[in-house]
Amino acid sequence: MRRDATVSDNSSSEVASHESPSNVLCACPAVSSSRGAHCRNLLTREGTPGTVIGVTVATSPGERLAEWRDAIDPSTTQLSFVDVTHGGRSAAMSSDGLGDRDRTPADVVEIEEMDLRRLGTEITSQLQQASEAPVVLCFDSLTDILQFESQERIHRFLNVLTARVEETGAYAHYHIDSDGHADRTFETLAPVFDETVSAGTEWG
Amino acid sequence: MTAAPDVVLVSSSDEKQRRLITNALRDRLPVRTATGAETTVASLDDSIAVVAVDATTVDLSAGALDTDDKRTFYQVLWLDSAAETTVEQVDAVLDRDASGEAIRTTVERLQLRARYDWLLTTFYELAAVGESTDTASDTARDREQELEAIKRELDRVAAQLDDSDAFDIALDE
Repeated sequence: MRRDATVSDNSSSEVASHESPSNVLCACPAVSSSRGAHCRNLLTREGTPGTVIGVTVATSPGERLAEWRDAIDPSTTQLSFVDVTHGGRSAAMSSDGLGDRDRTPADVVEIEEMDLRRLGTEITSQLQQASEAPVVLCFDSLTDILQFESQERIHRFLNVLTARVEETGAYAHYHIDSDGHADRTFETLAPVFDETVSAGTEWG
Repeated sequence: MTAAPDVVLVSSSDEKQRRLITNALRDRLPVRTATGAETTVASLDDSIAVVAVDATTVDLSAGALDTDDKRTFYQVLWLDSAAETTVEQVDAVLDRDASGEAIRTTVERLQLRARYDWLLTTFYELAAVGESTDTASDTARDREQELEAIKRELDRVAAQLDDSDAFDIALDE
């Protein structure tokens, strides 16, 4: 079943009150409080996550951890990241905010350059190996990978990924900048997901 | 929307080999046969899911089967004793003396890959057409129901493919 949920900037998203969709498209402005609020609510929609897998492209694992600070306790949740480094962002930037790697609260797998096959197999491998449920995947972001790959290729990639999320019983959300794409892009990508959450109209 | 490809095209000029392969497949899959390179290439339409080439008897190169036609989704099984063609050039390679069971297992896997490719393409094309402005219309409802049905089938087929096959097909590698 596919649904749309529109939530205002300052309200809490109500995704948890629905039957739990496996794959949610989170369409909010890239810089907005709603993006962070939705992300935190989607991370914890099934209660405290046992495992969180973060995917980062333009952001860094450190930035994501900072955003999740009020929602995730690294001492009780297993954290890992699949981090894409590329020309626009170096591996050094990827570790920004994580501090000393020996004491970092998360495992980070670096993927050099935008290689969708490597990215996909690494994510599915982590989904299959995760031992602490509920397992939550935060993909940040589709806007970033759409700068490297065609819309059709991303669409096909996401079909494999969303299938694997559902098969493994995980819960995933995928960020996309609601101001960064034509309406047609959202209409094309939305059917891949069980549900779309978006910010309220006050930003428009 | 065209029908999903499901036909296996068996290409061999050796009648005994042709019979061995078709007998291994015919109770499970629709099979057509070709006896030479020209008829094989001419038979590659959108109904073909797998083309099984007996490379010892048919003078074909793997490149000759690599068309730019976006309406075809067939996978290539190469049956050869010389092993000069690799899985990088085609989709699967078996020894010409492979058992009927080995051929059937490989063909069924390739047929699933072809079906997945067709579903991914069909799903994308329907999604990319865009929503009707009148979301209450029968057309809009039909489109949404069709998208949901294809997505369910995509997930069902994906569950039968390993990660390597699924990403290979999705990313056209």
